[in-house]
Amino acid sequence: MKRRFIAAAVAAATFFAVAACGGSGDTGSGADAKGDLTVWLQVDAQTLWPKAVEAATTEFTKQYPNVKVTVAYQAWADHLTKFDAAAQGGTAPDVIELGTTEMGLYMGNSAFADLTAQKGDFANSDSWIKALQDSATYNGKLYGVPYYGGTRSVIYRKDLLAEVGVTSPPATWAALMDAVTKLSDKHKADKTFSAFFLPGQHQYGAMPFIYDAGGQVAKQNGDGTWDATFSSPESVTGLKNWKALMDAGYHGDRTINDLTAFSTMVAGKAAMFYDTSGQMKKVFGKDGDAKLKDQIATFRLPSPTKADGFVPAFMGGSDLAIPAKGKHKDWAAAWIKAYTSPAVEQQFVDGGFMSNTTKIVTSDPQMKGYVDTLADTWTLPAAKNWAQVEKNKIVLNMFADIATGKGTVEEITAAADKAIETTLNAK
Amino acid sequence: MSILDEPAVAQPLRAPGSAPVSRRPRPRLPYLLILPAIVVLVAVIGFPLIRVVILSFQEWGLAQIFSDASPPFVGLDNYSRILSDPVFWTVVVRTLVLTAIMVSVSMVVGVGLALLMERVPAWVRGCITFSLVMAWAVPTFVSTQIFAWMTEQNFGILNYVLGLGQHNWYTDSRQGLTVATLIVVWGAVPFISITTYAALTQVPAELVEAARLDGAGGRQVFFGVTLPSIRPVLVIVTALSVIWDFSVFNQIWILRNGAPSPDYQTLAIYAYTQAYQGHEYGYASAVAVVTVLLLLAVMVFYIRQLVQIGDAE
Repeated sequence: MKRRFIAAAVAAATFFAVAACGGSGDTGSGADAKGDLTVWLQVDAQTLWPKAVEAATTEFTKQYPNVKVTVAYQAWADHLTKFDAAAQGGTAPDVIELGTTEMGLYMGNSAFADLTAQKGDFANSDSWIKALQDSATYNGKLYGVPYYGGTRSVIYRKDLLAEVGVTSPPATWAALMDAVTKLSDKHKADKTFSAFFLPGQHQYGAMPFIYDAGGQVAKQNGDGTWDATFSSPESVTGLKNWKALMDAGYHGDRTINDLTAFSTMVAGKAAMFYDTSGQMKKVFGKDGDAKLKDQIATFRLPSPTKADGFVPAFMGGSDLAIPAKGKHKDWAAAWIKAYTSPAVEQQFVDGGFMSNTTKIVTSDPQMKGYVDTLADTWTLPAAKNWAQVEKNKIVLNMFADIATGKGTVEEITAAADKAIETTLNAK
Repeated sequence: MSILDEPAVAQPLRAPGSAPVSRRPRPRLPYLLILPAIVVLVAVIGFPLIRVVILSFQEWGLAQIFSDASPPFVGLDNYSRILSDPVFWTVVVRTLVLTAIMVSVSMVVGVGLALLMERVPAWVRGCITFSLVMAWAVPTFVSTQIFAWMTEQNFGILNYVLGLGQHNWYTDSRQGLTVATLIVVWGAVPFISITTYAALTQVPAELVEAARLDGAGGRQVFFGVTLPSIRPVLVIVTALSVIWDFSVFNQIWILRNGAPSPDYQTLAIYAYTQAYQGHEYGYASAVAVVTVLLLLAVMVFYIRQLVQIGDAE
């Protein structure tokens, strides 16, 4: 307890120590510009595409030869706390990467510079993936540049599906349920086998069904307040479809999240699961089984509500923003421009993610399911307090309760909506 | 601190230039020697502590961080927000009940094991001590993960051994918290046993012998001689256990995949999800102050009870 105490107070201490520091604006432009530019990226950039960072800085330095760029890599667990402390201390970075679902909180608190007028300066801004652009848009204004994306698709084991005669990926809901039934029948004796691994505490497995049925998680009223809409008739229909797939295909702990899906598949106890390309790669990565690489493929999740339709996937990922308190906003924009150029975006694709535009996609056949989802993706509403809803675990617990049957879908979502609205509409 | 000012007050009494006349000899050197330590302690512990208390009366969130306005004082708003949350009181009760169970089970098992160690041959005692130290050395993060595997619905060894099929230990929070209690007890027993055993070796043998000669049975010797001798150690160990178990966090947090449902939340977890992760530093500070006050209340109550029992005998 005491440590957290001190953490909160250190943030405060930083404030007083550096209270008087202030910006004096850019010290010139182009070759005359001289100073330091601080960029905070998540550690993924360091592990997956360090060359992309170097390339961007090299490009930036051509324009600003006397500006020294410092890239500091941050961990997801505490980067926001650090950012709060740095901002309070007047040492906020000039460029910061934020997860798409973290943007709302900061945009709502006027933390970032408005980039609406500059949008055209960034490469491919006319073909940015809509879900990513939405995540960086607040009250109609653009406060961030889409960096990279990550979507969800069904990951399956070709060998296990072939054993029940399914040799091409199911393209319709009926075909999917048919494959699930066949797999479940074949493995009837094994109570631990899941045709489709789909636990309760995996919100990006459940929410797409809501969007598929025409629902959404929350919507904003004319006066700016929010209504949580998990209990709308559409959302309830979607959640019942999700539960139907779970009931038919999942035999495991319904209170857990998706992080053990890959290892269950490696063990031969799961034939399909719905997740990111990162989780897919784990199946044959260092924690998985390299021999399975040729047995893993992906397909877009077919829609239970629309014949020949598909479930719209949640698009996660990151945006790059310029803190409003930054001293060198022009330099920051120039660096972001270099870092989101088509050549650099290609490196994010090579690193296994989606680029920020539909124009740059991978040709890797194993990624087909992911590329196909780009046609229709969504992101969470950019509500100022959505981050707090996630911290309070209301949504995760709601899904787990539905999964374990603690009540009807209607009852559970109605109660959750009430709790979510209290948080969303808090000051 | 005021004691340090005294020489300055005494100054005018001296004649200028003359040697200081010390009426009440009060050595200054010890205070000078302790000064650096006090300065460091005040800076490292005192300042943040005071800041946290001040913060708890302010509204201090992102809006204040990213605007240049100074954070407004809001009086007791943060506190009334905590105390008027009905969930808070449920959580407090759950935490108190859990703490009581965890502490009593670990004390009974720990002291029992220590008494056993006293009676077994040296080599067995060596084995027990070794096992205890090994268990002690395992970080809670690791042991919790292992318990989570053992209680896993499909592949856990516990269901296999007990023949429970695909029983889910976590849909009912009472069962889930029982598992958490087991992990806490498992982690707490080594410290309690080893410390208590060390205390037992200090019980004067002649006292026990005298009691035996007077015809006291095992039970009488234990309650009449052994227990009073090791009471100070037991008091300290129990007090420490209360402090640790009151703020139990890791075991439940990890067991529930970092998203414990409301019926799993203890005070530490509630505070963490409500405040610390939430960028509301004023509110978080108020939660911290309340938590510490609650812990203090529990400890004062507990220690007073013990002292009264001790006085009565």
